[in-house]
Amino acid sequence: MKRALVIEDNPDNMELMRQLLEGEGYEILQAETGWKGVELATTAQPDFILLDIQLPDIMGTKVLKKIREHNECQSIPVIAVTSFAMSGDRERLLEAGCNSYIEKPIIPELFVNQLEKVLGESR
Amino acid sequence: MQSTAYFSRLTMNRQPGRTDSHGQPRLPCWVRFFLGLLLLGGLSFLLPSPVLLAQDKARIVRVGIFQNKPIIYQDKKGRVRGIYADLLHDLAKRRSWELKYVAGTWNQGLERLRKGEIDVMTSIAYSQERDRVFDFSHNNVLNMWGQAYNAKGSTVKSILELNGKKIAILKGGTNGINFKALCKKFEIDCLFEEVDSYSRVLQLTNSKKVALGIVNNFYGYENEDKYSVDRNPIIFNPFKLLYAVPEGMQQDLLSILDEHLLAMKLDRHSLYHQSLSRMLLEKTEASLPRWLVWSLLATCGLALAFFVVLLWVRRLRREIMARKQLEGYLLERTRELQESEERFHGLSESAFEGIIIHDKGHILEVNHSAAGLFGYERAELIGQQARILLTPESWEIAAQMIAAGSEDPYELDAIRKGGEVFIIELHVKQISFQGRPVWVIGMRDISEQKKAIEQLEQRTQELALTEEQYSTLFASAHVGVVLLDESGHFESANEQFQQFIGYNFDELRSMTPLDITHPDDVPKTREILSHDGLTEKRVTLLTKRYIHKDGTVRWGDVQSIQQTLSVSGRLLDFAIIVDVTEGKLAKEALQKANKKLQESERRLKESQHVAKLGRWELDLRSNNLEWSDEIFQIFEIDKNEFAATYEAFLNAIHPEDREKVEAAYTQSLYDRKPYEITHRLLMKDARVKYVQEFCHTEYADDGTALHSMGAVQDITAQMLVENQLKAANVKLKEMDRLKSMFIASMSHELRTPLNSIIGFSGLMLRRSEDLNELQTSNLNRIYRAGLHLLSLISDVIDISKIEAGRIDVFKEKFSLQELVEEAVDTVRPALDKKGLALQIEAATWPEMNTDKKRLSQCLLNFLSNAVKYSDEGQITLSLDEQGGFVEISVKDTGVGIADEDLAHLFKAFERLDTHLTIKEGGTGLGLYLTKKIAMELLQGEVSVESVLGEGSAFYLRIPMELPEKPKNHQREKQ
Repeated sequence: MKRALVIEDNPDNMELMRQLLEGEGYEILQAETGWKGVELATTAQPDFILLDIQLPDIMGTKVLKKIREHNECQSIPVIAVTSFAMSGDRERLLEAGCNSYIEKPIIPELFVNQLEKVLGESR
Repeated sequence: MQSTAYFSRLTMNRQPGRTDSHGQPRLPCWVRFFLGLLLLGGLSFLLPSPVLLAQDKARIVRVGIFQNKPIIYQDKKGRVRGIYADLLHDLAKRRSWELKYVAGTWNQGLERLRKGEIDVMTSIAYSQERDRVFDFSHNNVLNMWGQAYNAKGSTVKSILELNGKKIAILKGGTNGINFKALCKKFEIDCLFEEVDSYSRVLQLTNSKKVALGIVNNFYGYENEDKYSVDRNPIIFNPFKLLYAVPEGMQQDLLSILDEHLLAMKLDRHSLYHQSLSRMLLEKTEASLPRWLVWSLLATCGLALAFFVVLLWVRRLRREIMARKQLEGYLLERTRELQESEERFHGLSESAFEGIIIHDKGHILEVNHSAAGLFGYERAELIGQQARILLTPESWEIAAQMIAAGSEDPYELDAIRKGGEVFIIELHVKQISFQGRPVWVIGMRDISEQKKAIEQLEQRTQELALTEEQYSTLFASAHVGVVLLDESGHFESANEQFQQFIGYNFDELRSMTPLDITHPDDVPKTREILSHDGLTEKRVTLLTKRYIHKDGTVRWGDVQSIQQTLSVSGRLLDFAIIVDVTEGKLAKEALQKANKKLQESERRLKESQHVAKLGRWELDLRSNNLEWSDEIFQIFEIDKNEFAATYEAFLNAIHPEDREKVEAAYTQSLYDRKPYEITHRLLMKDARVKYVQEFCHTEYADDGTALHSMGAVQDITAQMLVENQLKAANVKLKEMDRLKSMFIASMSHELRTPLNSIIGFSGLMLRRSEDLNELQTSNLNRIYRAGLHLLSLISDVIDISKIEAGRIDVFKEKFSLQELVEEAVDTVRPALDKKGLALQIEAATWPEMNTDKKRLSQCLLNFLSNAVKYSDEGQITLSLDEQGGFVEISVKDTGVGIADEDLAHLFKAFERLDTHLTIKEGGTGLGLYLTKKIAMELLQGEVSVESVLGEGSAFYLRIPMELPEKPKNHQREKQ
């Protein structure tokens, strides 16, 4: 069973993500802050990471950078989940090291399709 | 005096076209009269001219008359009299006419003549106006002129004093008309009281209801005593008195009248001349110069006396024949003579100072005047030797003169009863009768005249002296010298003055300085000419205007000298006039120019005032600072309390700005450059004003600063506006920032709750096996509403950003195929749900370099619309690449759009009212946003084709390579 790390400060979003991913058969690790996310990413070795960009402690891009500093974490697919829906946001995030990008709000049927597509590509 | 000048000046304005064409010698009226008079005594009276003897058939002539004594009038008994009456009576008698006098006022007469109710009007003057309705006789009966009268004690002496005064005139009378014209000419504004008769004119004058009354001279002289009015110096406009008949009528009458008049005038002994002399003798002496009157009366008296003596001598002869005792008879008859003498006494007493008749030195008769002259009673002298009345020397002279047969007047020394010697002038006529000479002597005391003549001579001598003294002045150019006689007339005037004024001396002789003075300068000239308060010598300087003969204005610097000569006591009144016309004219021009300059300065000041622009000047050598009024106003300093000082200036400056201003000025002097500074002023009441200052300093050649000039402009109002503008700008920027923040938070904060709504409802629907049908349906509504709200939010945000020009374009390279597939994937669920087929027609898939997200947005809009508005059939997406542009079309087989709706299709919130509208959710912003994105961000265009009921086709045409648009700044990559 694949393990997903969800770094998300909003409990509603976290719960939605949990139900959605567990419903699809994933094991889920939850981090409510950026730093906890970095810690879990390095210690728990998840199969992929869903990263919110607006976090209370550190920016999602910095979280990504900290994770990528660890060699063992360099290949873990990181998917940005953000409501930064402006043109260029996506590119900026990809450049920062994200593997993919999913816009909020999450539309369950699209999300699952997108997720499978991203994971398939990164494999 | 002045009026004399008016007279001479205004005579030029006589009626046009009225000249004596019959070649009669143009002697003045009075001369003719005088000549006629000389021939009166003892000559036959009536020598009728043959022309006047022609008989006319019986004819009634209606004659208009009015009360104009002595020219034409009705006496108390109703008899018509006057010179016109005399003439007409004579003519009527010759022509066997019946004269019918129609009496009335002057104006009634004119009116009757105009209507033809009378045949001829008397005592009428020519005027152009009257010439339109009347015909006039060629010959004049009289010359007359206008004479003004005033009430006794009135001070009006000149026409110039008449402004605003009331003047009585005869309505429609020539004198009145002339006087009105005269006033107008002098720009004098009088009120005219127009009355119907001359008597009314004088009544009004007498009762002081008017300042002046205007009548003709004849009427005036005749009636001045009756109305107790004073003759005023103002006389004017002589004119001819004629006959007039209605125009075009009575032409034969007119020619008879003319002929008669001419004959009468040519014949010195005619009734005309008699009538004229009678009329004038009665009451006209004052109208003629005194000397002339005197001579006339003297001559007249002499002639009459001569005539009387002739008669008397005839009687005497009869007595001699009877008594053969001449001397005794003479003495006896003297008493009888006294009776007949009565007739001429009236005349001789007033006319002659004395008449003595003697024979061989025995006084036969003497009149009271002569007796009085010598200091005797009349009775004392009769029978006395004439010798006692003369000095022995004079007696000798008289004897010689008599012996020589001289009849010219001569002078002798006479002795009064008391022994006083005086001078008489004698006219001696000898009448020889039967070899015996009888002497008639007319005499007058000329001592006074002699004295006057001596004085005159003395004065002439003085004048010769003074003239000698001033001969250099007289001779020198540009200086006019005039001497006035005691009556104020020009006694002499040098060549320069004559040239200056344009009149020759003959003309000047009858003038006074006032006559050639500009009306405006008359009062001050009059003042100078006045001898009031004159002691020994008075020198007055003035600059005044003269009127040259040609009517132009001449300026003269006048030095008027009035000096009483100590030797003779004679008053010397002369003036030196320097022609300063050119200088004056130049000065006037200069003054005009100055005035203009002042005007423009005033305007400048005004505009400075309006512009609140103050001006200052600082003389750095004297440290003298000058402020214009505006500076005082700007600085709110009372001009009267504070002087313009640098300290006052510094005090007015806002304390925080003082240093800056001082530094600017110092720096400007150091750099020798003008400066400009804006600073604040702090008013007493703590108000702050803003001023802008400009300053420029002038330097001497050696670099020394000479003086600074500056302008201060109150720009408080501008600054306030500017500050408001700045504040508004700041506020606007803040609002813009807030708006951006709002939009950003909209896009983030609204999505977060939507995330839960859409997410959880979507999640539940994925596991709908746990739910019943109704729960699934309700959940679906929530889910779809969430999606709708999401798209609504996205569209609103996008539109607001595009409209604010704040949307960023992100240009990137991508494959169109990829984009299309993503879009199709997005709508796939909806397609599948409706069972719609999707066909993609693309020959090639071009690589794009444009904003992928925005293009995707457009394509998704087209596709979702196609799905939304189609219930069955297929959707065709086709690509066409041409000339750097790619055209993407989305066709459906849906409801289609009516032609009239096509125009509204791309407008905001326009949704077509179809059955699908309600069923299918939509923001109404989709196509509007698509068009905006296509045109403003992707620099392309959208279009639509549609047939209602058959389907629609939407086209998007954009450049494959988005051109760089500097205006749309691209986000820098971080």
